Amino acid sequence: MTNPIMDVLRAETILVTGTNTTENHPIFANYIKEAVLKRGAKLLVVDPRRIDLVDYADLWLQPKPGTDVAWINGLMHIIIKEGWQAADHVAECTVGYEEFAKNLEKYTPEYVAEITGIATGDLYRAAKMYGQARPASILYAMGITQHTSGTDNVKCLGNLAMLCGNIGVRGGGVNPLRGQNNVQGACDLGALPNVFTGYQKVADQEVREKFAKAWGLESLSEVPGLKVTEMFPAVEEGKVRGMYIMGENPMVSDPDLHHIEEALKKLDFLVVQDIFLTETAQLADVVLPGVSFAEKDGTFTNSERKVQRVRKAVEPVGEAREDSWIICQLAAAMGYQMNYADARAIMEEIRKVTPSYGGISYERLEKKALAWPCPDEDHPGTPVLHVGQYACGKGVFFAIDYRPPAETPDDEYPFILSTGRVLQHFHTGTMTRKGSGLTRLYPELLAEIHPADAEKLGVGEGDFINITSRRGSIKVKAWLTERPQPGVVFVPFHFSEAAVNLLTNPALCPDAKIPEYKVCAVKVEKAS
Amino acid sequence: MAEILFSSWGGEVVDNRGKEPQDFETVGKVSLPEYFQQDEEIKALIGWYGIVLRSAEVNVVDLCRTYMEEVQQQSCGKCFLCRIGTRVIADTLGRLCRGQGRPADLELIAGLAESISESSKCNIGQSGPLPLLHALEHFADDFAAAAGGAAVPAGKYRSRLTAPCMDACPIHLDIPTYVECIKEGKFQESLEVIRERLPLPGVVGRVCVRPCEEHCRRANLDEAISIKFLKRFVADYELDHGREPEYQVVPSAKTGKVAIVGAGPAGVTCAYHLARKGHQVTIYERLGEPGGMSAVGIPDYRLPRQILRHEVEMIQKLGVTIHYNTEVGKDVKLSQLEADFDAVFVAIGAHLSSSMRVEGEDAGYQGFIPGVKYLLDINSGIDPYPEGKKVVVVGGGNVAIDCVRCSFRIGKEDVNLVYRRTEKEMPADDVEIHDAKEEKVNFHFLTQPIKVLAENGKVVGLECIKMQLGEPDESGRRRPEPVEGSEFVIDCDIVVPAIGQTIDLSLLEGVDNVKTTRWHTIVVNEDTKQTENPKIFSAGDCETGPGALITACAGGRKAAFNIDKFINDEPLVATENDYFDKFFSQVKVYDPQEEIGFIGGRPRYQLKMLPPDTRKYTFDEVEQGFSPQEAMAEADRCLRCYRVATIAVG
Amino acid sequence: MVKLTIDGKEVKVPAGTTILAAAKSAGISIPTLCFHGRLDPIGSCRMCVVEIEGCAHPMAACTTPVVEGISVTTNSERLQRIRKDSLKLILVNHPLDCPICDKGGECLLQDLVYEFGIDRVEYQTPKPERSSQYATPLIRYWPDRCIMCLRCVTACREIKGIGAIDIKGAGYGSQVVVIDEDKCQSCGECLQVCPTGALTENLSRYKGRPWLVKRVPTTCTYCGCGCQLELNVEQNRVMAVTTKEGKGVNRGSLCVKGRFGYEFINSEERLTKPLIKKDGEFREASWDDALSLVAEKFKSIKEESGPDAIAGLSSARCTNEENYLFQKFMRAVIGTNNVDHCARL
Repeated sequence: MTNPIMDVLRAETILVTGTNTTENHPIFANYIKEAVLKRGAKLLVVDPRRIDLVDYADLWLQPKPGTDVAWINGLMHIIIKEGWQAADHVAECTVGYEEFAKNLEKYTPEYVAEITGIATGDLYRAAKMYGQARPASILYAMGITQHTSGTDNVKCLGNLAMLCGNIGVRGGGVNPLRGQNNVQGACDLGALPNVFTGYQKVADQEVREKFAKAWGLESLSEVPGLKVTEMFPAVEEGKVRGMYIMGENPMVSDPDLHHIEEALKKLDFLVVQDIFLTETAQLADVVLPGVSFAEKDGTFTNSERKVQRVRKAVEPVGEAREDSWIICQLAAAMGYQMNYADARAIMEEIRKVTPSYGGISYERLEKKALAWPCPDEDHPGTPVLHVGQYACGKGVFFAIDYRPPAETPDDEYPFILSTGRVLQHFHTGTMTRKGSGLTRLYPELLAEIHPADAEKLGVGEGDFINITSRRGSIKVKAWLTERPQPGVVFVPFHFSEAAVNLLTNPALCPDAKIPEYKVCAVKVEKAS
Repeated sequence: MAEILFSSWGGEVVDNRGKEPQDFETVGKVSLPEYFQQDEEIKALIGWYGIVLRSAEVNVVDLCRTYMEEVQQQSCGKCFLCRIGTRVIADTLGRLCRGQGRPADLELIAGLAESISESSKCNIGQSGPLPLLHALEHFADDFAAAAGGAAVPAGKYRSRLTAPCMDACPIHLDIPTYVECIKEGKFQESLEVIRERLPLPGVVGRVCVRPCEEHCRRANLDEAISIKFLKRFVADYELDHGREPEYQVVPSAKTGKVAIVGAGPAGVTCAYHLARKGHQVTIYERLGEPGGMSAVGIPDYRLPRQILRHEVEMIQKLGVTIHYNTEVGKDVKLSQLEADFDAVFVAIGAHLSSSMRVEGEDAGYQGFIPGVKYLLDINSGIDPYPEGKKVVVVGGGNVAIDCVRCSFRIGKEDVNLVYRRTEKEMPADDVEIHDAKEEKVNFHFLTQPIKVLAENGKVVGLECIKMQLGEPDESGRRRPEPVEGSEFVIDCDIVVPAIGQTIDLSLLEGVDNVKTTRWHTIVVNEDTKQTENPKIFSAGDCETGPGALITACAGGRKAAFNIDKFINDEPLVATENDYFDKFFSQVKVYDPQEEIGFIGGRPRYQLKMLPPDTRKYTFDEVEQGFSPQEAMAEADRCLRCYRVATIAVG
Repeated sequence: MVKLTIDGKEVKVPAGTTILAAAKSAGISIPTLCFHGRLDPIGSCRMCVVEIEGCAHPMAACTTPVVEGISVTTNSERLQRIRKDSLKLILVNHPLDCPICDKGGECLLQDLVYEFGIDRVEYQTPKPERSSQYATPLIRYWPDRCIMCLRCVTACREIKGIGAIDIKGAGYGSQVVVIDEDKCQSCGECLQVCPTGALTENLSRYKGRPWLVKRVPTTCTYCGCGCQLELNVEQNRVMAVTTKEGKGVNRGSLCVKGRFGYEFINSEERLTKPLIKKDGEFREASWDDALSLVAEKFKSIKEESGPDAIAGLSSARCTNEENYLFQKFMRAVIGTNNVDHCARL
C-alpha cells in the first residue's frame, strides 16, 4: 500500500474494488465505515458481487467479472472529458500522458457499458465521485489482481490515481490489501525468484556480488528462478526434481489441482515443513514439524509496510522446532554454517544487506512499528510513498487496452466461477478449521448462486450442486443469495474436501504469473 | 370552572385545602379542564410540572404510584437512574399502597427521586419524579399515614406520554424518537417512525410550517432543533442510496373499496393509511400529477417535483390507483363514486384565488393572472405571460412569496410585492420572506391595491393606496386603514392577486347531506372527519380552509382510521387520544418561559444554500440538505422532552 | 479556543471539546463508567455529572460541550450522592458471582463500587425476567451481569457499522437484544468494550483468572492488517486472545478470526515429530535422521541435475526472519533462485 490504513479516514472519496473488505480485512473495513459514517467520505464500490460494503456505499457499480480495464478506462475517459484531472500534477510529475489519453478516447460510456454492463449514467456518477474528490483513496485486492489482465488492472488503477493527483498525498494512494499476515514481508525479504531482499534484482551483478560477499560465497546464481505457478509445470517437464515447501499448501491453494497433485507425486523428493499434516504434506517424503506464530519470535510486515514484532508466548509442542532452527540445521547438514543466537540476530543481518530495512531494529520496534523504507536508525519510516516525487522519478502512464478473460462462458460451460474467501476462514483452512469456534460459525462449504439461476436449475436452498469445469468437478451445497450476479457462482477455496481449485483455470497473467481465479467457465447442475 | 384544592404546577404553589371556597386562591399557571370526555370529570392531574388536585377524594399516594408506574413504563432504559430508579420508586409506592410500607421508605424515595430528577439523561427521568417530590412535601401526612399502614383506596386514572414538539405537530409525529434514531445513525429506523404516521417525509421535510420547532424546548436554551430538515435528511438519504421503503400491510377484518377525490397531501395520506389496512383505494385527481396544492403552489426551488412524485409512487406500490386528469364533478360524478364505493374521501383543496374586490379585476385584462394559476403555469414549465416583465404580486402569504420568487426564475425583471400590513404581520414563513428579500424583491408594505390599470386590454399598472395601522381587529392584528390622498401607481404589466384561496364546491352537486360553511368549507365531525352523509368523509384545505400541509396530512390520516372503522361497522367516536389532544391543548405541554437549568450555547446547524445571485434565476433547490454528519450532530442537540401526564377521573 | 474554569482551575480547549475531555486535559479526573474513548459519548451511567455555575441541573460531562466562561465543579456532596445512587441502582439485583466471573479483577463496576465504598444497597425491586438470548457460539451473554451501559450496542453500531444489537423494551424490563441475527459476525467488539462480565468469550470461560494469565503482545497471524493482540497464556496454553485499546492499527478491535481463531495453536492435530515416508507410510523419526535424509537427497539431486532442479516455496505466514533464511538457504546453500511463495494465491 502507498498509504497507511487509517489514511482512509482523510479521504473524501474511497474507491473500493475487488476487495470484499468486511470479510477479508475486517479491521480495515472498520475504518472505511468510520470514514463514511462519521467523516462524511463518499464510498464508491465497484464489484461484481454485492459485497457487504455495498450497504454503506453512495454508489455501487456491478461490472461483469473480468472487465476492470474497461470501466477504469471509462472513468478516466469521463474525467478527462470533464476536465476533472489534476492537470498540474500530470504535467509536472508524470510521463506518457499523451499516448495514454489518446488510448482512452474510444472508452466512451456507451462502449464501456457494452463490455461491463455498467449503465452510462452510473459510470458518470462514479467518475464524478472519484474525479472531483481530493484526496481520494483506491483500495483493491485480489478481485483486481487474480486475472490474466491482473497487471493491466493494477496499472489502470495507478493511472487513475496519478491522473487525479492522488499519489503521494495523505488520504489518497493506490492501496492493495494484503491477504496474508506476511505476504508483504515474504516479498520484502526476497522469497521471490527474481529479487533478493528489498527488491534488489538478481539480474544485477553488483547486487549478486554484495550478497555473495555477505554470505561468504564466491558467487551466486544469475539464472532467473521459477515463479510458483511455473514450478509445477517444470516438475511435469522433469526440470525440477526436488522441492522444499515451508508453510504452504499448494494442494488446496493453487489452480487446477489435478495437475498440482500429479506434479507433486512426480517429484523425486519432497520435503514439507508445516505445523499440520496438510494435503501437501501428505504427499511429502519427509515432513518437518515447524511451529505456529505463538511459539516463536520475529517480525511480520503488514499491508502498510509496517514491520511489527511477533513474540513467543508458549513453548513449541512436542519436538516441533522453530522454522529458523530447522533451516539452519538443514544448511549445516549440507555443509553451510548458519548460526544465529536469536531472531534479533537474523534481523541484524537483514538490516545490513537491505537498505529499506536498514533502520529497523528490534530496539526501535519495541517502541513503535516502522514502515519501510527506513534506511537508517534516525529515519522515522515512510508511511506514505511517493510524497513530493515518485519513488522512481516520474510517474509513468500506461496506455492499456481491455482484453477479455482467458476463458469465457459458452454453451457447454455457461456460468462464470469466481473464487475467494469468507470472513470466518483463512486461506486453505489449515488454521481456522482446526478449532471448534470458527467452524461452528461456518461449518461447511457453500457455493453462492443467484436465486434466478437457482430457479432455472431447479436448485433450492441447501441443495447440493455439481460445479464442473474443463478441469474437474466438485459437489457443494448451494446458498441462494443475491450476492453474485446472475450467471456467476462464487465458491470459497478454504475447503480441501471440495477444493474449488480442482476447477480453476491455470491461465496466468503474463507479467505477474497470477492465476485467473476470478473468472473461469463452469457448468452448474443440481446434484442427485 | 370547579375550584382547585391544590396546585404545585410550574413552581406556583396554591394550597386551598381547609379553606372556605370563597377564600380559594386561583391558579394561574395551569387551566385544568373539568371534563376529560363527556361525563368523566377530571379530579386531579399529575405531570411534568407538578400536581393539580381538584377533588379531595383523590388519594395522592395512589396517584403518585400510578404516575410513577407509568413513568417507569415509558422510561427508555438508556440511563441507569431513570431505568432502575423509577422502578424502585414505583415498587416502593406500591408497597405503601398495599399497607406494607416502612417508615424509612419515604426518605428513601425522596432521596432517590431527587437523584433521578437531577441527573437523568432525558426529560422522562428529569420531570418524572418532580411531582412526587412536590407530593412528599405537601402531602406528607398522607404518605406518613400510608407508611403507617392506613388503607389507600385505588382510583381510576388515565395516562399518556407526550412531548412539546409531538403535541404541537398536527399529525403527532414521534419526533423525539425519530430524532434520536438520526443521532444514532439509524436513518432507516427513523424513517419508519415517521412513516408510521406520515407517508411524505421528503415533502413535509421541505415545506412544513413546523409548529414543532416553535414548541421546541431547546429554544429555551439556544435555538430550536432543525426538526424539519432532519426529516428531509432521512428521506433524501434513502432516495440517494437507491433504497425503497418497505411498508407493512396489516389488513383489517373487513376491507373495502374507497374513492378519494384529490391526490393532495390529505388524499395521499389517507390513501396510504387505508392501503396499509388492506383497503382498495382509487384516487381521482383533476391535474396531471400528484401533490395538489403542494404541487401547484410550491415551486421547484422549494420542493423539487421528483421528490413529490417519488413519494407518491411509493404509495402507489402499495396498490393505490390514481386516475390523473380526471375531475370529479365533470368527468365523473361524486354521486357515482358514492354509489360505486364503500366510502368516499373528499380532499379537493382550495384552488380558487380569492377576489381582491378592486376595480378592473374582472375585466379579463391580459396580464391579470390569479396567483394559483400563475404558479400552476410556471410549475408546468410555462411562462403565463411572456410579454410581461414587471410583476406586482398582491398578498402576504406563502403563495404570494412563491409568486414573487418564481417570477425571477422565469426571467421577470422587476418584481414587487404589495401587502396591506407590515412585514411583522405577514403570514408567510419568515425564512421565505428573508430569502425573497435576499433575492431582491421590492416589498411595498402598508399598501393596498385599489384599481388595476389597463390600456388596450393589457395591464399597465396597479393603483394603490398607502395604509396605516389602526386598532387591533378580532385576529389581534392591528387593522390597516387607508391614508387619504396617498394614492400612487406601480407601473407593471402583470398583476398577480394572491390574497387567499377558496374552495370550488361544485362537485358536491347531486349528493345528499354534505353541508358547507359560509366560508365554503365542508362540514365534518372534527373527531371522525365524517360528513353528515355517513359514506362521505372530508379533510384538508377543503375542510379547514387554506392551511398547513401537515394539517391536511393529519386530517387525511384521521379520515383513514375512521373510514376503516366505518367499513368494519365499528362506531365512529372520538378516541382517548383525541380527548388527550384536547386536554393538552388546554394544559399546555410547552412553556416558552420554562427555565431548563442546563447550559446551551449550541446553535442549530444551518443548511447550505445556493447563493442568492445565482439561485434567483434557477429552479434548482435552494436549500442543500444536511450531510449525515451534520444531521447526526444536529439530532444530538435534542433534549428528548418526553413527559408523562396522569389524570384521576371519575 | 474556549476558556472555562474547572474546580477553580482555568482551562483552554478547542470549541466542541466536552467537559470531560477538558477536565482530563487539565489533569482532573471525573469518574466514568459507560464512557469509552473509541465511542461517541453514551451518557447512560450519569457517573460523570458535574455542576455548572448558574445551571440548576447537574450535567453529564461526557456529553456536554464546553461553553465560554463557564465554571465547572466536578465534586460535591450532591454529585457524590448522584454517583452513589447510580452505582447502588446498578447493584440492585446484580449477581454477586464475582468469584466465578471471568471479568473479576478487571471489572470497572467492581472498581467503582470499591472506590465509592458502597457497602450496602437499601433499594429493592424484584429481579426482572430477562428473556434475551443475545449470544453466539463464541460469545456468551450473562443478562444478570449486564448493567446496560450500552457500550456494546454503540460499538457494534459505530465501530463495526453493523448495529446487530440494540436495546429493546421499556423501563427496568428493557434489555439488550439481537435485532438482526444475520448481521452479527461474532467479531467480539461488544465483548471488548464490555466493562463488566456481561459478555464473555465462550471458548475460554472458566479457564483463567486475569491475574494469573500471562499476556504476550504480538501480531495477528491472519490477514495483512497486522493487528496488535495479546495471547493470554496459562500453563503453556493460549486460552484467549485479547487486545489493548489504542494499540496498533486495530486500536482495540479484532475480527472473529483474530479473536477466536487461536485454537489451532493447541490443536491435537499438530505435528510433534519429524516424519519420514517409507513404503507409502509415515514413520516418526528423529531430527537427526530426518535432516540427514533431506540433506542427502538434496545433495544428490543437485549433483545429478544441478541446483535449478530444486525449488523452494517459502511462506507468507512465516516471519520475515524465516523468509530471509529460507531464500538464503535456497540461494546460498542449494544455489538456485527457484524460490517463491503464494503471494498471488
